[in-house]
Amino acid sequence: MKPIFLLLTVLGLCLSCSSLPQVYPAGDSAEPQSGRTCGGPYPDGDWQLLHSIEATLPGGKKGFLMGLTIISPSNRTAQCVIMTLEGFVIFDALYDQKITVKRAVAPFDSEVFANGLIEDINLIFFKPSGSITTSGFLKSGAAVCRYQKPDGRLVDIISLGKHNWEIRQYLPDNRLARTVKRMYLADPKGIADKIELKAHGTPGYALIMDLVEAVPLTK
Amino acid sequence: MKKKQKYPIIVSTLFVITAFMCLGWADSWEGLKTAAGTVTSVRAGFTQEKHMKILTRPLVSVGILLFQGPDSLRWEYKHPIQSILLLHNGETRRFVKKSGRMVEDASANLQSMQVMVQEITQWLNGRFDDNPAFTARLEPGRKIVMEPREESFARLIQRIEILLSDRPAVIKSVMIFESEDSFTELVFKDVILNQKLDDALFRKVQ
Repeated sequence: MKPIFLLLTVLGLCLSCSSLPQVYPAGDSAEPQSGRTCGGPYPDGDWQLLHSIEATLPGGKKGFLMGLTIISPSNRTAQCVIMTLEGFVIFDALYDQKITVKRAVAPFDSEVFANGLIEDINLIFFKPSGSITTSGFLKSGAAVCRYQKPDGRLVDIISLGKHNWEIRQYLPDNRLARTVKRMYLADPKGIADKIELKAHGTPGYALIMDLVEAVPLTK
Repeated sequence: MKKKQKYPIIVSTLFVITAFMCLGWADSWEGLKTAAGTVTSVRAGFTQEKHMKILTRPLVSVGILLFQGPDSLRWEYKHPIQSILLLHNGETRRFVKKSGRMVEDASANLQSMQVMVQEITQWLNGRFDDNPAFTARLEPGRKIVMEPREESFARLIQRIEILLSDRPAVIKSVMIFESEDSFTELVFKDVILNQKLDDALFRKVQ
């Protein structure tokens, strides 16, 4: 049993060590498309979003929660409330350049959880801060725009076509840290119907967020 | 003509008898337990409103509740997210509808959820003052106010207000205050008492 576990661990580490994908420059005719990719799939204006969340935790156990997120992309501020499906609030935090936790019930009461959650919200809903280092196409043909954040981490925004996007965030040593898939039916406002987030590495986790309600807060 | 005169008298008499039957069922803990003692099962619809200061409008959920004494509960949400919470033989399980099928949820074992679910079954048994974690007082207007004794618990739930129906053994609504900014209101309707319920409803999703 132990050798299998070791093999799986090594395999997992190898996969998470995969190097940064190469970006092939766009030809003149393709430049506008790769340029559009840099705008990304981010919401316009302020929104109140309610999601049902399926969380897959280390060990494969699934947990279901409700997430209420109020986002203001222009100010890069967010309030995040996590509730049980019965409406019992287990986590409530405000992010305005720093995190203020208003309520946190075990096992959601650690600083690591709060920081990780706010980082995930940033990655999901806000355009990366920092500068564009390159744009073009991946080997698969998907348009990509690569940002470098002020802390040195790279973020790829990838247009998969048919209203589907993927965002990948890498660690400073170029290991893949997070993947976000955003799927749209046809919302022009940048509100995805389904968002899948995968945290790579150990311990990893995955979230599937299905949109229940989106209320615009700006007219 | 005589029949016409008799009708209001019969109605008035029935009203007085009914009023006497209902009078006082919610005036004491003993009265509540006695009324609940006649109940073997409950079936009710409910509307749940989650109010929070940050919300532009409350989150509204609807569902049904099934209870079978002494401690079996089925708490089912129909909208907006379909889920079923089952309590049977002291075990809590929750299932959520994902991609057209019901999937078991590991987070049903959250301590806070266990506390709330078991508390609800206590109420349905008429035992509002049994939980040592809360102080409970009866107020005029068939209202029960429960407050946590421990400060650590009060950080999770500040206060619970239960409004009883004029119909014996029936809860009209429950308000759960989590903080100054957040509370949940549950309003029950179409309550049917002592209907025969299949045991499997509390063990299986179906």
